[in-house]
Amino acid sequence: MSNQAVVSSITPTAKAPRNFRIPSVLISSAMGFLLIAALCAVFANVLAPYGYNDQNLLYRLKPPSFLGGPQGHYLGTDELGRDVFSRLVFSLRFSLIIAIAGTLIGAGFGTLLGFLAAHFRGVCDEALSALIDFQAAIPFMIFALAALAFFGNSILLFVTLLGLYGWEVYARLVRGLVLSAKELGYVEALRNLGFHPVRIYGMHVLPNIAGSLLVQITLNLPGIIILESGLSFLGLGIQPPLTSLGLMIGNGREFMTTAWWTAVAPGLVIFLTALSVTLVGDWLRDRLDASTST
Amino acid sequence: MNVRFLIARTLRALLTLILVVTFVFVMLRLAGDPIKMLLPEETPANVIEQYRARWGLDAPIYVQYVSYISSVLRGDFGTSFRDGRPALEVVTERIPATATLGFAGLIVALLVGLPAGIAAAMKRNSAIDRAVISFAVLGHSIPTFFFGILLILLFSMSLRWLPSSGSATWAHLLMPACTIGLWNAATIARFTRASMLDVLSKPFMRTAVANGLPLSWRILGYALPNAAIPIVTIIGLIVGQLLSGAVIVETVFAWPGIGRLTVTAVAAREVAVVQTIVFLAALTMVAANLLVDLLYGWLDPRIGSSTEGKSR
Repeated sequence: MSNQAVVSSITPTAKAPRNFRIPSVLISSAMGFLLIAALCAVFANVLAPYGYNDQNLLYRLKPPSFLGGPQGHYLGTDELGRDVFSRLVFSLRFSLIIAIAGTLIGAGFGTLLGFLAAHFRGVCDEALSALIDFQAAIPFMIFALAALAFFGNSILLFVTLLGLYGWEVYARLVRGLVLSAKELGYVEALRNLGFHPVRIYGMHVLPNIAGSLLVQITLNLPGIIILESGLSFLGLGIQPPLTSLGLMIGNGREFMTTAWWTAVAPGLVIFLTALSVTLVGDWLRDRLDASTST
Repeated sequence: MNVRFLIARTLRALLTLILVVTFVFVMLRLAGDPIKMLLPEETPANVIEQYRARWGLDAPIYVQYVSYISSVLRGDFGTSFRDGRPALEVVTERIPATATLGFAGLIVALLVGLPAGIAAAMKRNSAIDRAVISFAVLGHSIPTFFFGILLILLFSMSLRWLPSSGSATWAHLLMPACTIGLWNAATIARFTRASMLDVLSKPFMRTAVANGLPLSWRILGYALPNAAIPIVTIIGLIVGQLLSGAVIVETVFAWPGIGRLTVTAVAAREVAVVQTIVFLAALTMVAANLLVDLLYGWLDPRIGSSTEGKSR
């Protein structure tokens, strides 16, 4: 152990040890990447030279144009001659929409339950913690797969399932934040003024805890992105003719010997997106609040 | 550890299992006619009637519920319509393959994650620390299916060192075990680091330094046992999640375990097989949690003893 470490281990620290700061270059690149990804998703129609289901059987499994493939197919083509770049931007759009929708459902549901548990306490509180315990007893992946098997696949069910992933984190967070907010002067004052609880929570408490919620949403998003692409990769999530990043990898996997780019391109996009969101989330947490640091 | 703690935990585990059975029962009833889903479409009418009577589907819902639980207790989960065998048999014959992979993956995770976390905590803010944290962040951003594909591209296709799929030899185990292991190693490293940092700042570690104990002794004899609770917790979670992790990795590497069975069963909507897997997953999770609870009592005698709170 170096001297410095001995010194730091001798100095009593009241707070839990914090991580070092992430270099700002990394944060800027992560934000830059996310901005580009968002723009690609929004302007997919403009950017994509081809439709995401346009087949051209004469141009099957052609390498990217920078590796000597045909001009115009920047990232090559897949087994049906579909342009990988075009599919990629559309997949990014669908994957992001679904991941964000799932996250918002989970955050909304969890936040609502958190508010209810914190307001009514007692039985409501007990019920929430029983529900959380129960959710922890079944691995989420298996639960989602079972639901897909029992009810059959539909995009609505799929998004709902993604929404159920991680709701308990929001519920627990909001419950704690609301319980402590209830003790604060401004809530007390509003209550004494005779405001309805819904108004107090919705218009006064919620804006005050929005920062912590936003941080938690950013921290949860990479998990949802990876879950969505994982299920779609297995062929149990987004179904053709729609496309998603996971679905592209699942297809491309079968042609790895001859056309590795069909799987590697979407894989890299998932990896960079998840990584960027994680970095930005950590950065937000350090900036906005310390209450959610675990 | 006292007996009451043990009994309470075991009862809780049983309660969770009953809740899971109930939950599956409700989901199945919401989804439609259970007979149509449990039996193949071309089942003769008299067999359907037999099943209806055996599962008591003509009875009121609470009677059905009781009989559902009793058939689950007897290990009767229905029949796989792929090959007509009991679903339980179809699932259990895959357990060895998944257990082998899961165990190998856990060993990789511990061998990489524990030393990395300890080293990062010891040399806080050093290059090692940064490297370990970067590894943990990167490790959780690469989905396992993509990491597995990259491994196959590198070791099977470019270098031709390892077979890309199957389970015939030990060489087949290497890549899937590393794929599962490195993902979990990232988690273990992160928790070990945080837990060790916490312990290293405690007064008794200062005393150990002042007494001139050698580094390895301080780490293995003092710091690690005291940092063990969060680490054991996270390892328990990893063991409990073994089945979910296997789903994707087994598919990537064509490993003939429960994970791959899950995917084919879900795609074919083989409800009997899927519900068996759900129970097995819940059982794994509950058993892992129970084991962790028991370990707590052994690692920290204050937990679960009647004098809890006073000994501090």
